[in-house]
Amino acid sequence: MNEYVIETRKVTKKYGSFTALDHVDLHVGKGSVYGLIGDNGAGKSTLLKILAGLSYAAEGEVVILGRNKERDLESVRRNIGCMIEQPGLFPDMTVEQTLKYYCIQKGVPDERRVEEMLSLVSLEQKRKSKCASLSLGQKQRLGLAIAMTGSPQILMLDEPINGLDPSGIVEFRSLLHRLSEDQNITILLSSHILSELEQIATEYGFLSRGRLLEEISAEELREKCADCIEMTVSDAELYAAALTRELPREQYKVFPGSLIRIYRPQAEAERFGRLASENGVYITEMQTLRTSLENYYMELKESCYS
Amino acid sequence: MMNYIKSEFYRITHTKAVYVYGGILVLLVVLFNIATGVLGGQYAITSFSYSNLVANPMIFSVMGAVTVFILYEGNRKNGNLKNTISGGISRRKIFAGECIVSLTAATVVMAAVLTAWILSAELFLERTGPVKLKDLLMGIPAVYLIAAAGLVSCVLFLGCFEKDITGILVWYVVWLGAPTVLLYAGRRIDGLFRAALWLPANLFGINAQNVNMSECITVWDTAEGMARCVVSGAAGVAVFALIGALILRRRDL
Repeated sequence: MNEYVIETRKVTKKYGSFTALDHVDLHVGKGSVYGLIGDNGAGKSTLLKILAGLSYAAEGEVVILGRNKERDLESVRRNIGCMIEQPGLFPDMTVEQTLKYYCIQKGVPDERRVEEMLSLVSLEQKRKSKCASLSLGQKQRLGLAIAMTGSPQILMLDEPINGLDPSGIVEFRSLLHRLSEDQNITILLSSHILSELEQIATEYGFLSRGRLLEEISAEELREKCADCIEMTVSDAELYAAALTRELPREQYKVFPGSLIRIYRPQAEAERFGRLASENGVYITEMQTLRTSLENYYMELKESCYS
Repeated sequence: MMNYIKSEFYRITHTKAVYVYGGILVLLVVLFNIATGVLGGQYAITSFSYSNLVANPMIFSVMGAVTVFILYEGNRKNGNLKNTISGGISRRKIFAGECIVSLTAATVVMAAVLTAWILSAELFLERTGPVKLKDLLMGIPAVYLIAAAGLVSCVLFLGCFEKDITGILVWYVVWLGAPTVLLYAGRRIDGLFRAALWLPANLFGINAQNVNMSECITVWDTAEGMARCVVSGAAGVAVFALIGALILRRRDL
């Protein structure tokens, strides 16, 4: 049985008549890096806010580290580090004072923790700078350091790479890798920059219009995104009939404009070319595609709403 | 909750806001007493100086609310509460912590300002007139709980509303506007008048005390008056603390 450190059961959140989350069942496994994928307004931040205790679900249940009662969740959240939307900072406090403030608040008596956090996010040079004077990237890094002060078992990060420059993104990614691999911290992060998530996530959840469309492991996703052949043919109906005799129905898909995609790892282009000529179908265009995470998400959305 | 309170004290003592606020108030009162003394005339006496506080005890409530505003203004906008709540500290504990921290800070500022007021008045002004130092000192226990209620309500209103300015306006209406309205309405509705008299702004109203250059009659001169002040303040603290604990308990951020 999988060990989930975060689980939601039928979580629903409404703002007036607008349903922000609709019966969401989320499962985040221990030690995983869970990428929550969704468009702007899909409900990612709302879901993370509910998990962080900043917002409340109208229906459903939240289970964190096996606890689901409100009072228990409050105490269990001491094991969670969060950065939801922009990091919350006091503009007139220095970076060092801010970390000290949160160390006191989280009951971390060791002064060395401040130094560790500064070094973890490479902000040693900025220790005496006021938070108001930091760049967005530095604020994001300080936000991560704040989240890490209490040595959490779980990190929840909402759009953490927003506003980071390219080298900042690389640094941030390697930092998350280190936290996940060296400290076995479970990371739940949301983003709409899918290429970034693709490089770090071990599990994915696809959220759209408040509904969790699918949860999938990176391994399963790799299999699903394996090579496919895309061809434009003279008679898609005829060719589809021929394919039905050769392949299971779920291994190919007919799109408008006589476009056909054959989803099959290591698909043999020659074999499908021959099949076309045997059935009197002309292939006007043919290429081998690898489905990106973006395409997978778009197709998933399309299939769910069509 | 203790960790939250400790962290807030760390923040207050390591940032300038409260020092600047207290410093400005101390400077203003000292300058006021020096100016009054230098200008001379009938106002260059301690009685006139003290009467500014004794005649307007609601100033303590206003200053309490200002302290809260200085400490917690922008909390929602800056997103600081998000870190605290997601770190496992409940909204009730945060509300209680904010009340305790701001009450402590306000008390320290009040002590500093009153000390500066009394010392500068005694130093630069002639000790005469109907309003004595005793009247001012006796007023402190009478108004302390009322000021505390004003402070707790300010923490509540700042926490309730998205915009700080809305919270401040509501505070003003509740503490200074509504009592007058209720008092006038009470003249037509039996029972309401007596209830309205318990509200601090009416308790210290014109008819309740008379402090001027020729006499000093305060509400807290009598045991009954002092008791009314204490009961009104204690009830205010209890009511606003209860409302805060209920309203802020499950509030979305």
